[in-house]
Amino acid sequence: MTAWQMPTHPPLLAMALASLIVLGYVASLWWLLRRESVTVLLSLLALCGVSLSLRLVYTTDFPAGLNEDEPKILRCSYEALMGGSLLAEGCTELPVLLNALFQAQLVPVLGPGRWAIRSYSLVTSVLATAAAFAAARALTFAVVPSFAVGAFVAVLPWSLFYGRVSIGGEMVFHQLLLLAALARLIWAARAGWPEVGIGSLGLSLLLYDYFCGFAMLGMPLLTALFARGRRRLCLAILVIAVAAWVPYMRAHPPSREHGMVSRLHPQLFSEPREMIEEKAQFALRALSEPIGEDWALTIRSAAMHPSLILYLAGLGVLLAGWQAPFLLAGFLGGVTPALVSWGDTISPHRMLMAFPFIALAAGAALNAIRWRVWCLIVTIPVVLVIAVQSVQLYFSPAFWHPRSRATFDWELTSLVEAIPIPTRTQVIYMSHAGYYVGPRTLVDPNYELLSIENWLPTGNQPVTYAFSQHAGPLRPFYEHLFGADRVRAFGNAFLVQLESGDWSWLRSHGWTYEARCGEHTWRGQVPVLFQLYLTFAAIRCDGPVVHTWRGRWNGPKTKLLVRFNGEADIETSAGVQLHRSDRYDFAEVAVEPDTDVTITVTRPTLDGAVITTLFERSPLGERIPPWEWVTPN
Amino acid sequence: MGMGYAELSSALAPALTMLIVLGYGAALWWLLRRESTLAVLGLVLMCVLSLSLRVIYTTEYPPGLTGDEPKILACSADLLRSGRLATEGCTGLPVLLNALFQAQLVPVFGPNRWAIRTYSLVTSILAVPAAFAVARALALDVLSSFAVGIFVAVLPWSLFYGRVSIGGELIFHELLLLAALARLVWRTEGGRAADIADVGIGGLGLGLLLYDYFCGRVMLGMPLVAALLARGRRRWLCLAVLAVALIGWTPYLRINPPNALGGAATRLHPELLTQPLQTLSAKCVAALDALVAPVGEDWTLTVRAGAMHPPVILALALAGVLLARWRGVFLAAGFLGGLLPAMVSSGASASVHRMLMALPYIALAAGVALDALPRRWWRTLVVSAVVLLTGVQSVRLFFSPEFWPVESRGTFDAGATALVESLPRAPRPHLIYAQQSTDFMAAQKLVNPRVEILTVQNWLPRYGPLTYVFAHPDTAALRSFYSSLFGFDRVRVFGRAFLVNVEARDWSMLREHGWAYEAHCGASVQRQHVLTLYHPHLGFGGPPCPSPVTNIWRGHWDGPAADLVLHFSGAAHVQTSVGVTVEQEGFETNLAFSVTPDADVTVTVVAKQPSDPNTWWEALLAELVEVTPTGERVPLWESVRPIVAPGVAPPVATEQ
Repeated sequence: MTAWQMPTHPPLLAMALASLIVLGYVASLWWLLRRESVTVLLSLLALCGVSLSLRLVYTTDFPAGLNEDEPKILRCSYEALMGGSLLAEGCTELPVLLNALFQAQLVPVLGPGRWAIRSYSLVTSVLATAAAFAAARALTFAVVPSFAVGAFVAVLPWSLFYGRVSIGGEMVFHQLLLLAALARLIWAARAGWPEVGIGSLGLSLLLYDYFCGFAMLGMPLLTALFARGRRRLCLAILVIAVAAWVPYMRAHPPSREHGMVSRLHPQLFSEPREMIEEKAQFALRALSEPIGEDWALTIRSAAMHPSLILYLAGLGVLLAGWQAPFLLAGFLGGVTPALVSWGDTISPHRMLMAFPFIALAAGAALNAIRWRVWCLIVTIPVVLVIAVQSVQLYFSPAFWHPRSRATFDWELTSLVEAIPIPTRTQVIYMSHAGYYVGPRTLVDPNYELLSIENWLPTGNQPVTYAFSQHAGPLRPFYEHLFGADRVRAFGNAFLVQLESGDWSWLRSHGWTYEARCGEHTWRGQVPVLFQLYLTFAAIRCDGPVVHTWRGRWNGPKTKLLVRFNGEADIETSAGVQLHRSDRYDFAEVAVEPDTDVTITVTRPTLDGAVITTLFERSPLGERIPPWEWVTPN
Repeated sequence: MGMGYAELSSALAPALTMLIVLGYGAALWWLLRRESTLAVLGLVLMCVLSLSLRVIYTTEYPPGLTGDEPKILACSADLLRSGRLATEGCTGLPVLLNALFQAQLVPVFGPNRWAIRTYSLVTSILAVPAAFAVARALALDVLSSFAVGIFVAVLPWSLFYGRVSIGGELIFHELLLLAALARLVWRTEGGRAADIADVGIGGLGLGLLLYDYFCGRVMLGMPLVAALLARGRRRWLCLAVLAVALIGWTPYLRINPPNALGGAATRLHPELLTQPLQTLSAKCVAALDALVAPVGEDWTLTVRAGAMHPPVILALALAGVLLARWRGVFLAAGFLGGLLPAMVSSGASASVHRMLMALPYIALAAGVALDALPRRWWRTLVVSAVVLLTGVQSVRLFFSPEFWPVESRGTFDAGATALVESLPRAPRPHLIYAQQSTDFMAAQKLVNPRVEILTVQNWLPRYGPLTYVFAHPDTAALRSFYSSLFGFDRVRVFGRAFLVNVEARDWSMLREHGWAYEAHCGASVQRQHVLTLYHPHLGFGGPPCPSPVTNIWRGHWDGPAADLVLHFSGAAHVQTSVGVTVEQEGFETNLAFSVTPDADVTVTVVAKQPSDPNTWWEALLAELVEVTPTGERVPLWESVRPIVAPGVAPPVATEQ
């Protein structure tokens, strides 16, 4: 067995770029906070501590597991990093740069798992607390309301959510760097090229991230309207950011087929007003109701705010003076990607850029209380109430609708995380677990896709079978066959861990299986008739494939339920002959002891693969018949 | 009408809690009030680090609760409700702190890990500034004191006891005591206020240590050590710390006077009086070994690697003691005193929990060694390197499989914890649990009245909805039986624990297979239908039978020919209709026999019933398993049909 393989060629450019960006973060925060008192910094540090803890607590829950895009992106980014293609598009059509720098590069340190995937978002989400404070200060807020803004960005549900998944925290942080720089360029007594640098860093990194970050391209233009004289340097931010984006643009010119344009709502050009009105209503309702979209890295409740902060934000916009148009325009700009993109409801991920403006506007309302003592007296309970409500909501079932939970796959995540790194056995995994196993296969050669050839253990070495929840009905079968101690369940997904030994007796029961393509026939044996996209690894076929299972029923008299995807023929030695030609169908067959059963399913091609399962109907429901009840024919 | 005792107590508990929390706040403020803002900034940063390390992977490291934790919570809540705050809890520990800082959190968090462990977690974080304060009181400079604080934040024992209950607060209270004593011995400032504050802080720390796990009591000696080292009036002040703590302890002592039958005395090593020197030296070596190797005890809230330190810390600590003169004496005395409970108590290896009081002295002594380095820049360099090295080594060790071998993980029940935490809060389900899980279910009973023990009477669901809970390794073998019978979607698995969710419907079809079961107690006979002949200490539910009970199972074997084994305690007799007759008598023994299709099988086990239903491990043991190439398994439900004796009406399930 080979040990875990570490990358042998550290990509120097990637390391240099990552270091440069990290230095940029540190320098930006230092510049923005350098004039704050030690007490303020101390309190900010404590706030970051709270923020960090809220992002670490219940590490494996809220959300429970990874979204399948997360390991998929890690795998793609790792490949891009190793191939030196930092300007490539990843496999979800996002620029690969940030994921290659801050996810893939962490694989050798943190392993190909959740920490490599989410650490960047987590850390930047914590830094966003300080950046939010800095943005509030740049908007000329007093210290106490600025703390309130920092606290909101630390605890609001959307911030917790996007600080605990990937492709979230860094977006908020970059946006807040940009806003702090722009606000300083408008309102600070002294501001200049350092602010341009900070803003450019923020905006250019937003352009290399999820599409919604593009909405912030308008902010420097807006700022230019407010700024006077030399302060119109804010346009330089736009120029620098776009210039930094040119290499990516050149490699991937915008097209209708892919990228951002392909995500526009189909009715945007035919019925733009109706569509945007409807989406805007959704977007506003999503701020207080769980009506958002459940999809990759977006869940229905993610945009929800405690009502108090929404009222405060409304008030803040009214009271904020010249800051109000800045906040309002930013909010509207932030919502835009969600309004113009496809989907029936609204995606909180696409409106992510709007949320920090709500926190800032709420801070503006508190900032309107001029007398410092009153401000403190009001701010403390307001922050406490909003924080408690936010944290309670986030860590409650109310936030995690079953469909929202389902966008993350805790079963496969736990299953894969339970396999040690490096593996101590050969690991044979079901194709459904492919995305989750993907990053591991890059660094560990002991992973193998489940096929007819390797389904029955050879006995030469210990082996672990990894079944996704789609094979849940097989769990009782395996528990009965190998004992509960060898079967580790993670919800409905499960691992079967077999030691090396003589497993040849496993061939005494089960089904014979053959796949025929023209003149060629592949033959094997399966322990159970439960095949989801599973056939011989060696099979190659251009024409129709005929799959046949044969077995003798040894169990009691009962009814069997066969499900299949293709043209099916079922025959028994008791004279039953059934033919079905539907694409997805089932058939019920009565069997008695010693009945021979033959099931044939014909698929037009090998692609799409065969789905055939056989259950027994029992008074308590359907179940896979025990292994001993079928002998291969 | 006057206020009743319980009502008085219900007001007393929050008042006492507030008083203690105020005491913490005031003590830390007093100890740190003269530190620079930069130092406080550094301390906040360390607390942030400490907090993060204690909440990360909340449900792992350790994986779940140990059975004692929910049991203590349930006991404490009962005693809090009845107003008995000065009494002993159900593990023989004073109940006070658990009642105040665990049971009172149940209405906020529910009967879960947060109610159980939050107090330890928070105080474990506060131990960081407290450690810094002790170091400062020992006249260490800020940098070396920071190092001590970081050691207390990141060393594996600190992480471990900050993430379980009955740990963090012990360290915090000890450090408060040490800070006060060190100040009384070495502080240069005078004044009555300082005297009173230091005595108060020390009294608070020691007083609370006396109301906690036994190992804390060893710190009773530290005021005496301090009195020896102090000069003049300060000696009396050190003794005043002792007096204040003992006065605080009096209510407990009056209700629970020390005796040879309960409390700390029963935990003494049996050979301590017969072979004191050999015992002490062997245990001392075991304790010292545990500082470098994972050789400690695996037991409730103690794991074998719990005392392990990075070697550099131990070397520094040794150097620190040698370099520190009288402070070295103070630290060495504290360390040896801290080891004492582990040395004099039962068990072959050292319990890290019992030697917990010794461990902060190592961090302090290491800090003293760093403080002895000449030149500030050199010291800064070395402290940074040592802190970084120690931090990384400690954190890596704690969150690694080396720290958590199977035996240590086994002292916590990940499966049972996850199962209990998965139970819905509203509506609370009707739970029937195998009595091996009593500790974990005890806390559930605080909030859910519909919790009952599994017996042969309620084994068959009558209607539902119901949730059967099997959260103990004894019942793990039933999982495959239930999965095969009810299907994978009704059986939720959590490690070796599982639950079976049974929806509301007519379940009478379950009577088609299984065994007819009879229990004869003298002339009285109870008859039931059981799903399988697998009774791992399954109770009958009725009043205990004074004489041995004759348990009879009758079934018709419908499965294929099979080799069966009966695991049992008592006298067993097996007879089949095809002429097999075997019998045997013994404790936890086996009886093997074979069956063929269509054989009638009668299994009889005569065994005593426990007089106390709480001693579930003495209840009926009779487990019939089938031998297969992969091991033993409970036969399928369809393998057996019940045979009801002629003239006997089939049993009726009880109402659920």
